[in-house]
Amino acid sequence: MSIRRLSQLQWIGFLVGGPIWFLEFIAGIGASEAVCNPASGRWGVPHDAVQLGLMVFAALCVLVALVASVVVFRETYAVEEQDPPPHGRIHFFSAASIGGNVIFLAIILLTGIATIVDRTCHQA
Amino acid sequence: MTDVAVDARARERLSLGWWGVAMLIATEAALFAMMIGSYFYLRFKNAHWPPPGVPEPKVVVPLVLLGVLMLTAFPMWRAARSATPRRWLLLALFVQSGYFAMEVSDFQDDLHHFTPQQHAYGSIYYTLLGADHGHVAVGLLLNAWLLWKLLFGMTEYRRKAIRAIAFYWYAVIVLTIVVTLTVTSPAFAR
Amino acid sequence: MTSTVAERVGRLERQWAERPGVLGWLTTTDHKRVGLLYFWTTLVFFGAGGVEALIMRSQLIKANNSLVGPEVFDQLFTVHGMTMIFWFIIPMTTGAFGNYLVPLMVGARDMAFPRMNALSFWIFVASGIFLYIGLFSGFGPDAGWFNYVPLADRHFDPSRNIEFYTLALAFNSIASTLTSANLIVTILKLRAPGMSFNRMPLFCFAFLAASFGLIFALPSLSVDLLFLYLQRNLGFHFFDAAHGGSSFLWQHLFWFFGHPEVYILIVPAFGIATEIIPAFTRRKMLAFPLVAIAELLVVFIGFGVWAHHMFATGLPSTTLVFFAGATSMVVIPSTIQVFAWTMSIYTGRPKFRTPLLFIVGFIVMFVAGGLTGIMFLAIPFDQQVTDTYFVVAHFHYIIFGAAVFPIFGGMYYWFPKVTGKLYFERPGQISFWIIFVGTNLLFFPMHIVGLLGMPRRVYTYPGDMGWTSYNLVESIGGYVTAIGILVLFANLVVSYFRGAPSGPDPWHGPTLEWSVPSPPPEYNFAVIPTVSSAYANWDSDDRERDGHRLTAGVGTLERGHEQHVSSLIDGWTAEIVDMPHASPWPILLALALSLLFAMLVITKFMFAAIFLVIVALTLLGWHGKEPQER
Repeated sequence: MSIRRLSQLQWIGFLVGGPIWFLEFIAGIGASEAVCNPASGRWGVPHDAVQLGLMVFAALCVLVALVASVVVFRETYAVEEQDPPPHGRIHFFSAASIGGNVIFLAIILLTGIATIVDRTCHQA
Repeated sequence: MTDVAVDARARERLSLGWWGVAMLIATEAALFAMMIGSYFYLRFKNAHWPPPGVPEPKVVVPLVLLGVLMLTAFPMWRAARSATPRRWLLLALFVQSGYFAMEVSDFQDDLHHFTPQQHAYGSIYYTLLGADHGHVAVGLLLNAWLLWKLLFGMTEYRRKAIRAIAFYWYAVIVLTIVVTLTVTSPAFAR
Repeated sequence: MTSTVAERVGRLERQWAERPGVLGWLTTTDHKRVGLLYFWTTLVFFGAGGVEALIMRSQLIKANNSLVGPEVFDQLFTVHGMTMIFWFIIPMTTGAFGNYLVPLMVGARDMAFPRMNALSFWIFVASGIFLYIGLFSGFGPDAGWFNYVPLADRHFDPSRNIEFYTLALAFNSIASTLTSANLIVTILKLRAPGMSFNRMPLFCFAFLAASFGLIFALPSLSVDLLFLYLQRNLGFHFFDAAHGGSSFLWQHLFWFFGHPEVYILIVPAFGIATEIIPAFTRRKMLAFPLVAIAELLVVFIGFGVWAHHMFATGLPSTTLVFFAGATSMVVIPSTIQVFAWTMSIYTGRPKFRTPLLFIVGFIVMFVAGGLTGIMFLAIPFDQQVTDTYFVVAHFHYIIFGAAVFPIFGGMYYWFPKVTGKLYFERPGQISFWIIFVGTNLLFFPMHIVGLLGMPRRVYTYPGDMGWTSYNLVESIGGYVTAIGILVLFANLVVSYFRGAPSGPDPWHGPTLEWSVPSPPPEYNFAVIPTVSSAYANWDSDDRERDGHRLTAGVGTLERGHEQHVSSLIDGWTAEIVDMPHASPWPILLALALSLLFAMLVITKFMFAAIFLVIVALTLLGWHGKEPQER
């Protein structure tokens, strides 16, 4: 794989997961608030369907980022931790991104399942 | 002439001033994101938005003015790349000032119909718009400063300054798009 | 050959020399001087916050005490919280440690924006004076550091106390924002050639994370403060339900800032730990990429947990489970770091000098505080212990353990670098043990007394609740901690005057600050350093190469105040720039801003507008002089 392609995949792996999780997170909270307020509840937002859609979309994006990170990690397996750029930097970010994307995926799944399974608008 | 050469592999060579403006934009974008979040949060809490007695927001004039402001991105972009930036800066400043004057007039006109002290709708409406107009005003001052500096000729510092301030304007334009769509949204979706 | 080196160094010394005397300090833009100014000033505020704590503990030492009344107590706990967070920990970590060390660690001669650095210090000082003018004139903020509405609104808190809250914090947040922007651009753009991200010290990752956190979190607080100021002083309605507002809005905006803030408090301290451990275990940090990403992730995921501070407010559970889920996962990056630190110590050859002792103490306290934190993510449990002393125990274990202990450890670790002297080891170790025992005596019983039902923020309590003996132990613990802290500072002061010379590198430290003299010269590096790893000072080939380059005059950048600027990702040389030096504009601008804020406290808007114009004119003057062309 060319260094250019490796670098692109590395950035996808590093930069996609976090923003996607955060946007899905805010959208999910927003949807929940939109449904569960008396003033906006009459808009008829289908809570569980929206949350399912958000969860699936976000999970797929983060999965793609995770796969990209793993591919780059394997391609640069022989590179040492403190090697010069760009290979050292690429390997470093791919290793770091694997950790990050796994955690983002876990949060997306945990929160998505919890909010769907829970009784909508039941006061905690 | 210096004893350390620029590395050919350095593809990103934006100035420190540009990065400073980037940090400012990041923090101001977060500021506006919180205000817009507050707008929608308050909207969720109110059955009638705008409340009874308050007219629905105008749509045509704000969107036309927005379009005019968006067009000024072009002269700012040209100014950042041109050997004769002053004409482009003058054009941008002229149109941006006209935009600003119209917005101030609209703001004052709105105040005759409803005030921020009546209801949360007015409070968030005027605060959000006021913050946006404030950022436009700062942009006007920055352009005026650039034009004044350029009266004394072009230097590398001033070239970097034009680029950085153009970047500020692109951000203000994007901010204004989001703010305008937010405050006109009650007219689109009840 | 030698005389050529001496000539070069002499040239650098002359060009970078500071003005002598007080004027030199008032107009300094040197990051080391600004860092020292932050250091001493934050210690004054630490003392103030400590005195506030001791008065509170003296009031609570027995039931039905009347040392101070409820109004004063309210101001004490509010100002104690505000002072410790905004005027001690944040400025001590980002302002003192960050400013002093980050340029040295990345191989730069100063921060990216030296004058803005000085400005942020003077604004910070002014904001603290602001707050304490409020306190000493009887108008201290008194609605808690989180200042909930409607208690903080005009109806329940009509006088100026809350204006001192809103404006002191707003003013302070400008200083923090400027420092954060400076740290980010310095770390991204001023790295020495060859310092790509995988070769950057973990300390810099931590400060990058904290700075990004501040950039994105402070605006939420600013918006909240703006809304409150407008509501209280101009009759706006954001938080009152009668006019379409919501008091929840205050809480959401506050905690969207407030939670990242607490990670911002501890992440720089993680950075300090990740430098002390390699130095005193003589091995590189385990799992370097995971520790680096963990430092960034703690802050990033920390933006998604804010409403775990609102589990007891009656929000729907479908909303709250988002926060419970994110809170459960935000623990993972912290845990990764704890494993890396402990395994690095275990598999290294540790020398338990004072700095490492404080780091071990930090790990113990942080794990304890983290465990109680995990307990809170269970919504039912949280609803039982909200507003009790259990919460107070949790956050003090975290803040004292995870922020203050590394700060103390860092003071000892970098003392030789800053002063050129060695501290006295025995008193150092004694100070650690007294503080460790004291803080556990002080904060551990709070868990128990909280579970026994003692609420927070009460100025006294009845004698028949079974809380008295725990409070007695806590107060004794407070006094013991204070003694330990006094021993620590006494040791540092005596060491400054009587300590043995340290030389440049007493610990054989891993990072670049140990490759320059102690204390470092104004220009930091005579030659821009070559970097091949995150432990640059352990790469003796590179340091030798630097010596040859100095002799040959390559990379010495002696024409004015020259600074090397790198490309963003891989640190290639992008340009050489001329940096600003001593300037009066920062302190003048801070003065103009102070007067502007003072006018806002007393709601004199006409005068505020006049000072706004003066601010604009000062900025014009600031940008009057342009850098030399290259």
